[in-house]
Amino acid sequence: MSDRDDLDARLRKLLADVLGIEDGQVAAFDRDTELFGAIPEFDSMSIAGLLTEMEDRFDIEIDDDEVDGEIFETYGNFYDFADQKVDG
Amino acid sequence: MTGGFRYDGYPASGGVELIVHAGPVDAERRILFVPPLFEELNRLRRTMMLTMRRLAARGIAGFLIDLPGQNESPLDLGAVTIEGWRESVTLAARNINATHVASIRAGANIDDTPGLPAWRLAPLSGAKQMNLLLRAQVAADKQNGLSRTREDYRAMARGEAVILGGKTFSPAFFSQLSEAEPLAREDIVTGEGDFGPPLWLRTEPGESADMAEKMATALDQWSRQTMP
Repeated sequence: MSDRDDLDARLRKLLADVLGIEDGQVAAFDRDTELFGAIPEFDSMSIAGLLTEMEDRFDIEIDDDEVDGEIFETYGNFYDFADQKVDG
Repeated sequence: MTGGFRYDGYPASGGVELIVHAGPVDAERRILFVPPLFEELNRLRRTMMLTMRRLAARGIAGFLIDLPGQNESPLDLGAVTIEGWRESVTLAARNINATHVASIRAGANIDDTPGLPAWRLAPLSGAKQMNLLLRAQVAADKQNGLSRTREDYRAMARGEAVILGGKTFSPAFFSQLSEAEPLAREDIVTGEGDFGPPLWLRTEPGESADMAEKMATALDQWSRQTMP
């Protein structure tokens, strides 16, 4: 599994775990799939758990000023954000 | 007796608090559960009770305490200290003649009662617990048009009480929780393997019979191996 596939799989699992969505639903996400606000399970209360768990699983730190509305807008945006954090 | 559970009080630091228990009165193995904190308590309480019921069926007594300032406690969070919590766990352990301690999430920061082996489910440091609380508050602030950061709250908390998730944190408690860490000790272990999806991260309270069964099995095995 390439690093890219690995990150993708781990992000999907993170979303499934934190938001409580079915694996099947998460597997169907593509870059354009809308997340925050579009998925009922993903509301502002979910963000705290999502960011903190993300830091833990990927061994990264996410500052408050890195978090804007856009990173949760679509799965593609979320992936790109994670990708940049994990590499950098 | 309600559904196999009995409700009593135990002498915690600061006054009597609720203790729920199940299982044989004369059980050889008596496990004291140290609960997760704040919202995670709401999310896991039913699953912990299910776990206790399953342990009871295996002849193991389980005891779940309210910490001062949590759940049904009459105390305000403002009156609480980490040391007071740790003391409450020790008082409860003595009160019920506990043979083992099982902590969940941030309960791990106060589960190191002297002389009792402890088992941890997904231990969470005080710093990470604070991150969760601060982030939730920052997100709620944003919804209300307020732009604050976690660092803003940390700065405020140095000099005054701050409100996170509707609860008042004194400067002392804020800093104690931020610095709290699960103690590393030879007889304290973290449960390994898959206990199912992390219910403590969900925003909706739920319950999992599957997680309860897995926890009961793990605790049964571990407590048998670590009988004093």
